[in-house]
Amino acid sequence: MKRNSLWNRAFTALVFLFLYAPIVVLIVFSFNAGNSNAVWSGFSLKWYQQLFSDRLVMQSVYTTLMVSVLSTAIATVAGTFAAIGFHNLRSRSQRNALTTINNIPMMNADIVTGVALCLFFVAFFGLWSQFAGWFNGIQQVVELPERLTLGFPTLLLAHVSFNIPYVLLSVSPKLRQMDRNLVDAAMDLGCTWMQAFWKVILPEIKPGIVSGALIAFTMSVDDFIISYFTAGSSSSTLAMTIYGMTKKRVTPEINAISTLLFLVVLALLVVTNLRETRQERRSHQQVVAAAIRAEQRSPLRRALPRVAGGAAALALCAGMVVSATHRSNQPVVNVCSWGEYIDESLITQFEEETGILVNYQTTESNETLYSLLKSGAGDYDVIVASDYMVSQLIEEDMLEALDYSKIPNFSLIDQRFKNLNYDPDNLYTVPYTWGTVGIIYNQTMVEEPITSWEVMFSEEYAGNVLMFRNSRDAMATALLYLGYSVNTTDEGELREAWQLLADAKGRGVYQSFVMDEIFSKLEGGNAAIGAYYAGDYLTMLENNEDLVFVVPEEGSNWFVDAMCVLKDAPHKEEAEAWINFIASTEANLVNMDYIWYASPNQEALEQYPAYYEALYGEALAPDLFEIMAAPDAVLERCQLYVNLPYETRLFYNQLWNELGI
Amino acid sequence: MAKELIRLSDCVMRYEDNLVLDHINLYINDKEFLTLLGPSGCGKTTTLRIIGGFLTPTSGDIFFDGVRINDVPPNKRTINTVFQKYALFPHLNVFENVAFGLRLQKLPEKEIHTRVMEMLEAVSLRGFEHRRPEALSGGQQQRVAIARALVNRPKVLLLDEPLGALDLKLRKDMQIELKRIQQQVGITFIFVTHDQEEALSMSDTLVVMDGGRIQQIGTPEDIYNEPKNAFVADFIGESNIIDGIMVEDRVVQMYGRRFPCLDTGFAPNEAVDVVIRPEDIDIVPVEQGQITGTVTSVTFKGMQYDIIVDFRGFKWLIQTTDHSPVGARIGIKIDPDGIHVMKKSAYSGQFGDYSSFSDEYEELDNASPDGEEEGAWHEA
Repeated sequence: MKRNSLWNRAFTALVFLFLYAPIVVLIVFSFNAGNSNAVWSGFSLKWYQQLFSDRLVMQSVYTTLMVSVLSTAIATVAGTFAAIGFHNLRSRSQRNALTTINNIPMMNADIVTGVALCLFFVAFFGLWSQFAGWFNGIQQVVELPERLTLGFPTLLLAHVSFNIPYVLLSVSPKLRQMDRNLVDAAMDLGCTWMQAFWKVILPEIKPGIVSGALIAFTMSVDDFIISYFTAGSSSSTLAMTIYGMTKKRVTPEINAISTLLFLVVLALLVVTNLRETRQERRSHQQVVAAAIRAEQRSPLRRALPRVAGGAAALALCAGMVVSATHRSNQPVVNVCSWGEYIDESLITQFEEETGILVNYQTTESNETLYSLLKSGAGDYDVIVASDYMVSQLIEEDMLEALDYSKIPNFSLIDQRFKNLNYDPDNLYTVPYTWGTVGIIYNQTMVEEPITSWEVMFSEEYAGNVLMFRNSRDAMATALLYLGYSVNTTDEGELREAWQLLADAKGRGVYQSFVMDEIFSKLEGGNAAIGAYYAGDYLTMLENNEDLVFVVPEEGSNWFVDAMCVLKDAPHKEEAEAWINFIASTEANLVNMDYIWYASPNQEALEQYPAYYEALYGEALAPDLFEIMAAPDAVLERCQLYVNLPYETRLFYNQLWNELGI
Repeated sequence: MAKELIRLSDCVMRYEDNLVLDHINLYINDKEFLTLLGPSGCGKTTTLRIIGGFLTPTSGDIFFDGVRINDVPPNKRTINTVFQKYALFPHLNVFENVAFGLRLQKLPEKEIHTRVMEMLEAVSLRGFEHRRPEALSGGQQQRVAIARALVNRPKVLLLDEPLGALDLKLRKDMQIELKRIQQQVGITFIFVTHDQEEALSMSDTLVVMDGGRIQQIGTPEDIYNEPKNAFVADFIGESNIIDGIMVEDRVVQMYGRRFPCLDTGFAPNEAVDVVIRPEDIDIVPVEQGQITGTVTSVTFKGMQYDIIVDFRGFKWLIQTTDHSPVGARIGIKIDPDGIHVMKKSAYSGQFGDYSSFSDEYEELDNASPDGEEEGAWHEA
C-alpha cells in the first residue's frame, strides 16, 4: 500500500513536471539579462521594459483586447438568446440536432474554421464588389465602397462566430436547471416576455452567462489560427505578433510577453473556477443573513453598482469606437515584413513625419507570404520578399511597377544591387537588405578552422552538424560543394546533390534540420556547426564569443530582400513614401544597427563604422563589418538565387519529400 | 345559481398527430371551486393552461365574462396560477416573491407593503418575509405560491396539482386550508388533480376527464352515486362493474338473476353495465343470499376488511366490517339503491374486475402525471 502510494506520487510529480517544466523555463528566461534562451546571464526586467515600449506589441495588445471584449459582448448576447431559443424548441429531436450542430465548431480543427472563414469573406468581397459596382453605376446618391478587405471587422466577426458556441454551451445547462414554470409564473403575474426575461430568466441564468463570457473571452485572447486567416493586413492580434516575432530570433521579449499572456489566461481560469465553487457552496447554504442585508440596503445603494457598471461599460465601448474612427480617418499604409526585421522607432518616426499610419505585419517565410497573397488574405501595400520570391511574384504579375520619381532615395542604392536578375529592368523593387550564407561553427568544438562545405557532409563531426530545414538552402549547400550552380535545373546534378544530403543524413551527420532553433543550439554549445545567414551570426556572437562565421572557399549564396508594392495596392502613394523613407541613409543606418543585416544604401554602408563608433564609443571590428557586408572579393564567389522554372520547383519538392524531413 | 364566468367552447388541442383535447365544452361559474380530475395525459393540465393563457387552442374559443380571450396573453388576464412545484423565484425572498405582481403594477411602496403583509398573514407566514424560498419547507413554499397569486386579487385562481409534492398529512391540512382560503376570498378556484379523494372532498363541481374528453361533470355526490360510464365509476372510488341486461324499468338481470333497482329509461332487454359499490354489499348467510360466491382473499384495512369474492369466475371487491375467512362460501344481498345501471360505453369491460386486485392497485392508479406535462409545456 505504502509503496503504491509512493509510486503514485512519483508518477503524479512526473506528469506535472512534464506539463509545467516548459512554462517554468519560459518564465525563468523572460528574466534573463542576455538575449538567449539557453545561456543565463543574470536577472533583469529589461525584456518587460522593452515589451511595453514595443509599439508593435502594444498595438496588438490593443487589437486583442478590443476584439476580445467586443466579440465577447456580442457573442454573449447572441449566444444567450440562441440558448433560450433552443431551449424553447418543442421537439426534443430538433433540440438535440441543433445542440450537436452547435458543438461541431468547437470540435472542429481551428485551421479548418480559419480557412473556411477566410475563403468565405474573400468570396463575399468578390460578390460585394460586383454588387457595389453595379449599384454605383445606376445611381450617384450613395456611393458604396467597391473594394472590401480583410481587417478588424472580419476578425471581429470570426471571433464572434467561434465564441457563440461556448456561450451557448455554458448557458444551456442553466436553462435546463431552471424550473420551466418560472417564466410562466412571471407572465402570470403580469410580465411581458421581455420583462420576464429581465426579472426572472436573467437572474437565474446569470452564472451561466458570466462563465460563458469568461470562456469566450479566454478563447478570444488565446486564438491564433483563426485570427491569422481573418485579420488581414491592417490588424494583428497578440498571438499573431508573437508568432511573427519568432521568425528571426526567439528573444526573451517573447518569453516576457508569453509569460504575461500565460498569467492573464491563468487569472481568467482561476476567476471562472472560483465563481463556480462559490456558487455551489452558496446554493447549499441558507443565505438568510445575506438576504436580510440586501433588503436593508436602500434602493439607491442597490442601484449604484449597476449604474456604475453600466457607465463603465458604456465608456469603454465609446472609447473603443472613438479611437477606432479616429484611426480610420488617417492615411494608412499596410506593410508586411519578417519578424524582428526593422527598428520600430523608424515606424514611429515615419508616422510623425508624414501623418501616415503604418500597419506593420509580419510573416515567417517567403512561402507563407506567397500563400497568404494567393489566398487573398494578405491585403498589403508594401511587402518585403527575397530575391527568388520577387521574381516569382513578377512572373505571376502580382506586383505593381513603382514610380521611382516618388522614391528619390533610390538613387542612393549601390549600383551593385540594382538591375539584378530577379528584376532585370528594376521596375518593381527597392532593395531592403542583403547578405551572405555561410558556415557558423564553435571554434572550441572543432579541430581546425573550417573552410569548406565538406564539413556539412563528412562524418568528422557527425551528430554535431545543423542543416537548413528548407529545400532551397539545403540543396544549395550540396550544389555548392559539388561545384554546380545553385540555380541549376539539371536533374542529374540535383539528384547528385540530393544523394549527398541523403547519405550524410543516413550516416547520422546531422543532429537536426533547423531554422531559427539554430540560435539556441549554437549559442548554448549544443551543436558545433551549422549553415545560416551572416546577419544572424552577429546576433549569436553577442551570446557566445566562440562562434566563427566563414564563407566557404567553394563559394556560397548571397541574397537580397527587397521592398515591392502589390498589384492594385489601395495606398500606393503612401507605400512609395514608406519605401522612400526606408531607403534613406538615416533609416538604413538605424536598421543596420538593429538587425545586423547589410544595407544596400551606399552612403549608409560607408558611414556605418563611424556611426557604430559614435553610438557605442568603440570601433567596429573590421572583420565583423566584412561579415555583415561582404567585400566584393567574397561576393564574387557567391551566387544569387533565381526563381526556378516550375518543373524544377516540383522536382525540388519531390526530392525534399524523399529525404523525409 | 351564480353567474357564468369562463366558457370553453369546442376547444381542440392538437400536437402534430397527437390529439390532446377533443372538443371540450365547459362553463365555470363565478366563485365556485371546480376540479379537473383525471389520470395522466387526460388533458386536464392542458385545459388549465388554456384558461391561464399559456396555450392557445388549435381550434375553439375561450370566453371570460362573455369576452373571447383566445389572443389575450397571460399577463393581461385577471387570472393567477399556483404552479406545480410552486415556481417561486429563487433569487427573491418571500416578500419580493409575493410583491412581484404588485411591483409590476407600479403600486406605491406603502400599498405594496400593506397588501403583501396582509396576504402573508392570511397564509400564516408572517415573519418569513426575508427568507429565501430554498429555506422554506414544502408546505411553506406552497403557501407563498398561493399568497403570490392571490395578492393580485385575481377573479380566478388556477391550481395545477398544487398538493402533489406534499406528504399525506400536510396534504390533508392544505386541503382544508385551501377550501378555507377560497371561501374567505370568494373567487373561483380551478383545481387540477389526479387524486380522486382530494377532488371529492374539496370541489363544488367535479369535471372527470380522460383521453382528452370530459367524461362527466357534476357535484361530487352525483358523480360518485351516478357515474356515467365504467371509467368514471372506476376512477371515482372503487366499483364492481358487471355485465347486465335491463329487463324492464327497475329490474336488472345479472348472473341470470333479477335484481330490483331504481333505474329507469332503458330500452327493454338493453345490455348495460351495472355498478355496485363495495360498501353497498351486505354479506349474509348462503341461504339468504341473492347470489353466492367463495372468498379468495382478505385484506385488513383498519376500518374495514377488503375481501375478494369469486362469483362464477368474476371477482368482486366487498368492503365489510365482518371478517370472513378465505375459502368460506358466502351469500350477498344488494339493496335496490345500491345498484346503479349505466349505458354501455367504450370503457365497458375494461374496469370493475378485481381478478388482479392487490394492495398496489391504488398506487398504480395514481401513477405520476409527468407524461401529460411533457406535452403541455412544450408550447410555453
